[in-house]
Amino acid sequence: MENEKKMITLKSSDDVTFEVEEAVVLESQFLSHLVQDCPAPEHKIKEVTGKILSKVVEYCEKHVVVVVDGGDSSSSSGDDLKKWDDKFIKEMDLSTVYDLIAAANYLNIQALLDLMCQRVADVITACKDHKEIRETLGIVSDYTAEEEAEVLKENEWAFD
Amino acid sequence: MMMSGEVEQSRRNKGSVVSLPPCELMSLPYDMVLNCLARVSRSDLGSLSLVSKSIRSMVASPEMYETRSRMGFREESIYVCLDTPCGRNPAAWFILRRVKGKMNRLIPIPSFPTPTGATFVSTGWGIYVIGGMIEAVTTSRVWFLDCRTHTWSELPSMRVARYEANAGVLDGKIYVTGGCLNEDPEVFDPKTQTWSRVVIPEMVMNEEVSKVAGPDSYVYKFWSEEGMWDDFFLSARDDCCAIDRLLFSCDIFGKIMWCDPWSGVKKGEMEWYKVNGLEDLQGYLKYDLRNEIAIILNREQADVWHCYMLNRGYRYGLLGLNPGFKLSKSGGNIVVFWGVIVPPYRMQVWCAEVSPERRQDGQVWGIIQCIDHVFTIDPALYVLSSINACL
Repeated sequence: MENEKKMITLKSSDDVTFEVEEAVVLESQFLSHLVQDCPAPEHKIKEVTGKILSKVVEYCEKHVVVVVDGGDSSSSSGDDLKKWDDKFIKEMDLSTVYDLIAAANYLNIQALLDLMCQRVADVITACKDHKEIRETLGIVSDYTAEEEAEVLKENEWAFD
Repeated sequence: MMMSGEVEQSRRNKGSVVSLPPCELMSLPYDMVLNCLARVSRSDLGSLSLVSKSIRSMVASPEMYETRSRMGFREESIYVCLDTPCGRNPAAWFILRRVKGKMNRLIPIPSFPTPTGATFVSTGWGIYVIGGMIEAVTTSRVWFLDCRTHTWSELPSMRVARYEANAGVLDGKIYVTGGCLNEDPEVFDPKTQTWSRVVIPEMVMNEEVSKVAGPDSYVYKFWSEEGMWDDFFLSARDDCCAIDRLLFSCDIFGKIMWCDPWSGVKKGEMEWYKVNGLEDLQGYLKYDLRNEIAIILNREQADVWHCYMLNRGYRYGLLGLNPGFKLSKSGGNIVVFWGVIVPPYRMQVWCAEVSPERRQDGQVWGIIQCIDHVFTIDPALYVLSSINACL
């Protein structure tokens, strides 16, 4: 006999609601505690917008630990999950990545935080030099030309 | 500068890829920015520090080192010091640049007048240069190379002057022993920046500290402060490196040897065995007397120096100072350096990387990953030391 799955409603800062299974919510340490401490059917998450919360929910639904009955696993295998993760981040602009980092940090979802931070690191690594990093990350240099030349000299070992 | 930045920004905003206000990454909580940047490889951290001043100070911060440490993103770098036997020229310092699919190369970093016979040890984010001889006088002075920024600074001096001492790291502290007559070992605590005496009584040695001595290296097993048996490898000036609880060394015939310091000790002596499969390397590493003579004959007053060194306690005079090869380790591989004299007045520095593999029959095999010519230099600089730093 299968228990009816408990559903929980999450409401974003801009009042977008998401109805998810409890297991999905448990992916977030923060929400786990929230649901345990306060068993209301609906939880408002003031710090996260609907756009970002939809991504968080999408991620958690995919990564939720499926309790397998009978041994035949219906949960995603490691390889499939990785492929899914890759697709998930590839479709995302950096602005969303930053928002998701903030959200994953707030909601305490370690795997999502790791995935997003690694995305930023990969974007940096893919840049061919510091100028491209600036352009990609939208950072305006505060070095004078002389200072930059000096740092470049100090870091000469790091460049080809 | 600002203008071009703004133009850049507006141009990008019109583009379709990403649109974000400047420094959106930097407006994340500090820990989150660290979490992102700490994942970047060390050589890319070099480019990152050129991006802006705030990123540069973050890259060089202790927090960056701690985050990389905690998340397991620290990388081993090999530093090489090339010196003259008597400090006639300032030593040259290098970092080994390893890029996948490319030749390994030595890249110069700021040089430093490194004393002859100094002891090198690395911990945290830097390399300690301990003691040695400055203008024929043994010194107690100690220097520090900050590997994050490649800047040099002086640290408090040891209690006594030491020359060719042995040093090792345990619980983040640096233990230095030998290199002087009848003096106790001493220990440096980087946190308090102080040196203090260490006494290891023989009695304790039997119970909680065991010592295994080779011809020129010591391995101590210590009951550490954290309450765990800790393997403490006092790297000798001799060529030795420890990988996966095995010690590796190279003999004068160019054979790379291994020894298990925990079980391979018979009658107080370490038993050394040959690493198989490295015949191709042996020719390079063989102690080639012709090379040494070439160096010496190229230098004026070689005999004078030779006697000088003999008088200063070098068993083999100037010859004893020619290492010919140096072992280091990197990511479980042995990295070995050696010099080749190219007439008339150049020396090539070569480097090979070997992956050791202990097979079921107990033998150790080595697989040569690469053999690269990494630098060419004036042969006056030929005492080669390689030091590992992990950050």
